[in-house]
Amino acid sequence: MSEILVIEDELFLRQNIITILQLKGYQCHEASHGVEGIEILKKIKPDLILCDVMMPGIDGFGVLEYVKSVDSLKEVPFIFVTARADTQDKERAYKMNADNYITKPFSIAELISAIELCLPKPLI
Amino acid sequence: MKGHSSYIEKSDINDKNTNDSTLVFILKNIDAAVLLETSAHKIEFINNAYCSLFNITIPADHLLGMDSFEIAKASAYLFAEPEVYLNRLNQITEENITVSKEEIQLLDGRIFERDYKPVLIEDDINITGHFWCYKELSLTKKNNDLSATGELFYRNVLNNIPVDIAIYNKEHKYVFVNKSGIGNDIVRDWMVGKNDFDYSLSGNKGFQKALSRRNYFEQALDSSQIVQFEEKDINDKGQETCNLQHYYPCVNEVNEIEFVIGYGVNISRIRQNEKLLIKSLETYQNLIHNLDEVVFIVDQKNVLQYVNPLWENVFNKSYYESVGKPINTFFSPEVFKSIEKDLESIKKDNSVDKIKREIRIETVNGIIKHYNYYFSRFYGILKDEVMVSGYVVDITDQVNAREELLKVLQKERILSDMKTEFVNMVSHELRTPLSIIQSSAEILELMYQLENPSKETMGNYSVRIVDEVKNLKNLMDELLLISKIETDDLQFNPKEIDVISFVDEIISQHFNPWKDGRKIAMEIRGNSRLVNGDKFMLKHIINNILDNAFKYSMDKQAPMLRIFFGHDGWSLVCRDYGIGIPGNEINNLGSSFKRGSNSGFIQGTGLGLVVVNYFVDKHKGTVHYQSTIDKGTFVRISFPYLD
Repeated sequence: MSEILVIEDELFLRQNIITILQLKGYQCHEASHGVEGIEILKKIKPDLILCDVMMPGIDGFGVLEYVKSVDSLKEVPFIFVTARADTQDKERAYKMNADNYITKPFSIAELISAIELCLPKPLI
Repeated sequence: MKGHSSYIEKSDINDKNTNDSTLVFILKNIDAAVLLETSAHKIEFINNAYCSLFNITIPADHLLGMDSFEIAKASAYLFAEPEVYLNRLNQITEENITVSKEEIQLLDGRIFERDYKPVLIEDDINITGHFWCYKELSLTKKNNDLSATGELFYRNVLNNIPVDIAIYNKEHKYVFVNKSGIGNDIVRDWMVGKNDFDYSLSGNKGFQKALSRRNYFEQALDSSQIVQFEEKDINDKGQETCNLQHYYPCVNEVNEIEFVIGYGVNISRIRQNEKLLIKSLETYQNLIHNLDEVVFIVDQKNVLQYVNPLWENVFNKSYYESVGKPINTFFSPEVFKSIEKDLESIKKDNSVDKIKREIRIETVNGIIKHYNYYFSRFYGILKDEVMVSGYVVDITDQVNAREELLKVLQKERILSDMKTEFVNMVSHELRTPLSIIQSSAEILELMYQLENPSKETMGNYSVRIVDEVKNLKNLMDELLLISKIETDDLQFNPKEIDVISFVDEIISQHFNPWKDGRKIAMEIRGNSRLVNGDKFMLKHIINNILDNAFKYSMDKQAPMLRIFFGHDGWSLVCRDYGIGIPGNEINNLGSSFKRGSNSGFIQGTGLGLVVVNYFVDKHKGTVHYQSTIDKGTFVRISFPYLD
């Protein structure tokens, strides 16, 4: 069962994403902001990271930078889920080797296909 | 000699009492040609001068006794009309009339005077011979003729020179005046022997000119030097004329003045051109004087040769204090460094015609002035003397305006960046609740497909959807308000308000009790009075502040509101016992979409205080926050009375 780390500061949205992923058969870890996300990453190595961009403290780019700087983590697929729709952010994300960039609001299908592109399909 | 003087008596010549040889010697050697013949025309005496005159090559002594007529015939060819010559000789000897100074001319132009006298014997009746004497006149005559022709020639020349010429004697009387001087022939002839006073008298012209001329004439006589002076006049056409007159004294070998030549040159055109030149110079000077820029000229050694009046305004030194001084004395050494470089390159580099540069000068009063200067090169009167004209324009106003514009532009850019940022934030703020709504709805659907969701789960997600829609609605309302604020569509409409009853009404509507049942406590301090304020804005402020106080203090003691009437103004103080605001975030309050990092799932748009700040500002009031995490927050909003 693939493990996904969800970093999102908006409580209800975080809860909804986790509910969806669990319904789709993924195991989830959650963090409400960047610093907390990095703390979790120091303890576990998820199969994929879903991360918001705008967060208090360390933002999504900061988290990605950390992930790419750690040898054991840099191959972990990294998907941005963000309310920022401007192309500059998108370009920046791809330059930093993010694997995908999903803009809010998104459908479950969008979210799942983005994840499945990076991960082997779960058995369920 | 005796008897009639018109006859020569033979005894005169052959007088035994006279010294024959002496007489003969004289006759032989005088200039005149002399011939004495008998009545039968036999030559009794002939001198060498006679032979020479008539081209007779035989020596005089050998001619004695020969027929004089034959000699005359042989010489007749010397005359233009030989017949006339010979006939006249015959006529004279036949008539025996004394001939005196009869002019005859030879073919070669020579002129002779002929004298003839018959020679009588003692009885005075019978003619015994003829006496002929020829004297050459040509030389004297020629000289006389020549001098007459010469005078005419020079008169002609002088009359045709387009310059007034007069010759005066020492008494300043006219000896001669040419046609240019006086055109009228009669007047010109009359003028000789007269002076300028006579001329003035004749023309009723007053003595002004004559007096002035006399004065200069005497100067010329006294100094024996040429004297020049200008004479102005009005010509027939009424135009002013100007003559440059000269009195030139002519001296003889012993340095005495013999006569004075006066000549005047018409310099009206020159003077006219000078006037035009001066006029155009004045025009240009006027132009340069009134130019809105400083103009100066420096010579090869950078010494000022000219400055216009504006120079003084800029450099505080007058024309006289500046011209002749090196230009570097007017600038600080560091400013002059660039000026000097430019001056040298404009002087030396022919490929550069003009140099332009901007400089910044601090005046004595410490005011910063900006100038544009430009240099251009020209050549002085002396060849190879390079001069530089400089023009300095005060561009302080332009520079200030430019800087002002840059500031405005920068402000605009910041504003525009802020707007973009704001739009991004709005987009973010809309997208998040939309995401929650979409995902909640999709979860419900998914749950229906996978399992039978409980009523509780369904309720959770539908509440989540309704809440987010409510949140979106609030966001929309506040965005609308902000857009009204931005376009100044919200009119500030102050009216007299009884604050206590006004606040009371608001409290009773929403906060007494709030939706969780807590009731706010209100206190009044100071002497209550009517205040001026905009009801709509004040209501929004109070609602927002109180709503925040309740929202962020769930499950805690109810907030308190105090209205304080001071001397200069009144204030609203709201105190809650809620979660507080992190210290470093207090300054962010009032910025769009900035909420306390500890606000968690407490609903809010992050725009409420933006509006509050704006409305307080309209009342010329201030907002002050004081907060401790988990202890609560004080908000003090102070207003002046706005009388």
